[in-house]
Amino acid sequence: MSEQKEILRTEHLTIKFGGLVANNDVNIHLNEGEILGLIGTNGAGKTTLFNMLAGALKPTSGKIYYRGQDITGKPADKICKMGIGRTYQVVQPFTSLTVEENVMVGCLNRHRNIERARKRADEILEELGLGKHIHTKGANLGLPQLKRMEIARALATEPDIILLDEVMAGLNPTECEEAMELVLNLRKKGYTIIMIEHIMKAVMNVSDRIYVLNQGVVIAEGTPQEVSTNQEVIDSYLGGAKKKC
Amino acid sequence: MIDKKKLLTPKNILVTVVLLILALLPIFPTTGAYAIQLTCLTMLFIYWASAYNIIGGFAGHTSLGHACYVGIGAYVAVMLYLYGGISPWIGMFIAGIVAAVIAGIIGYVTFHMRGSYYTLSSVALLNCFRIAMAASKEIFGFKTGGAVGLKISWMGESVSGMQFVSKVPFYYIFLVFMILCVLLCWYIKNSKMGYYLAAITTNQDAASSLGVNIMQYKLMALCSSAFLMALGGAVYAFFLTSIDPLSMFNYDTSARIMLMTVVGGLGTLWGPVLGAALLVPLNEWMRASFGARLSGLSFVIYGIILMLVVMFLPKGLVSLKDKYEKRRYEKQQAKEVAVKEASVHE
Repeated sequence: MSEQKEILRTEHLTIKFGGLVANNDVNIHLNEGEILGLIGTNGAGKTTLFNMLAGALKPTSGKIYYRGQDITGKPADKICKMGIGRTYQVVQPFTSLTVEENVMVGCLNRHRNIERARKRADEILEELGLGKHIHTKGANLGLPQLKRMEIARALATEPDIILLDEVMAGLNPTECEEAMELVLNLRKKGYTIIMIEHIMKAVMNVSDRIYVLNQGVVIAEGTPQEVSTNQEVIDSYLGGAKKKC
Repeated sequence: MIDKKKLLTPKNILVTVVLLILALLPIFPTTGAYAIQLTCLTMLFIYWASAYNIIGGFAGHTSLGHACYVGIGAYVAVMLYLYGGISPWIGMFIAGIVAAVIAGIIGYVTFHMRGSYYTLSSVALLNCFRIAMAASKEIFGFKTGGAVGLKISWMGESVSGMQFVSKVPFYYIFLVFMILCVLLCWYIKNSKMGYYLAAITTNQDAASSLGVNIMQYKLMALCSSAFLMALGGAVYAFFLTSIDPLSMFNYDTSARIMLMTVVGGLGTLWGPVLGAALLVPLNEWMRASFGARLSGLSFVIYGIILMLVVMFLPKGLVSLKDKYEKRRYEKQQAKEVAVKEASVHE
């Protein structure tokens, strides 16, 4: 693992909303080709961290480096163009557009030509098993398909890193299995992935490394094995989560 | 390769027939001056409503002061002609650029904020210009005529000066403008810009995380819309041969352009066309029939029509087609089910 190339790193990343410190001195790094799990209780600051990485929020202090380049505070569209794609925890479809058009918006980043973008969108949707739904309006799609469409849209921007924010939440066990398979497939294709997930079985099986956040602070880092035996993690998070599973 | 079957759709045939009638209308000896005048206005409003639709519909930013750019276009083109001797054919493009730059500044300031700030500032901009033009007698040392406005004095028939005895040349200018504007809207709607704007209007955050530069595309929409409005305004000024602040920077015109688009179908290609094609003649007819006796009645009827459309067809008149198709589809489905059931019973 150690010879792997680092692709993304944060240094002392901190963000405050008024008096609330949502992320405090967060230092994480991501290696190329890795699946990184991000876990923690609700309100631990996982999505906030994602929002900073993707440019939706500007950190109060600290730096984000992508391939050695400082990208702190760059707008979301620039960061997307540089190669970081994301999905949203609460799905954000373009409801008035068809599934195909939703994905085309992502494709148009790399393809100026409409027809080429359409073709590329169809390919991606076919790969993700949404081929049947290409002409369905975003508003009329079920949740599992919407989550897949979010991934398709992120892939359409041709990123190197994909940030997956709870793509399995709200899915039934079969759909979860399928989603896990999908994530592993993405890695096989060369994408680097950070995933926020509450479903322990999924994160533990899929991730190479895991960071645990609690109240905005990273309390543990390591392989799934290491993290799941860490006492602090069990106390603050896993204890409750295990009961739920 | 062009597929002949694809070209011969009812819609294309209808459009061709309408365009042919419009092209030949002035040639018919029975066509009176009033018909020409009314058709000119209708085509001009179709042009304006389509141009408005780029920012109001495609980009989703309602403007209640879009006639501001009409006024800017008219004043810049007329003043360039009167004081610089610049042909309106060139002047109107300069006017368009001036309008686009002013729109760009307003857009840059207001698009940073979410919500209806652009809409509010569009009203303010319109009123600022109207009052400023009415109050000031000159700009940069050139007379603007204040509240009285400017008159383009007759200097004989000239193509380069856009001065014609008959209104027929203007008729064809408006016809060409209208066709080009609708074609441009079609192009925008089916281009990268159109998809990006559709994404921005439905979900701004998701759009920006997919690499869409929100500000850039909104500004592109606003500036191209303002440019087109000003172009129309410039020709309109030469059509009227006189301009004044009240009739050029007009709030009613702004509201009417916006409402035509809404009644026809905001954000659709044919919505503004249909809206203006119905409402301009209707308005003229009502003004002619009730104007003298009950001057307010035409406004009341106008208002009722708008309310009915907004209540029953919130997506505009063009959504009638979708509704009809949906009903037909449902009927067909019901029929198929009935046939299936019948065969099962047998």
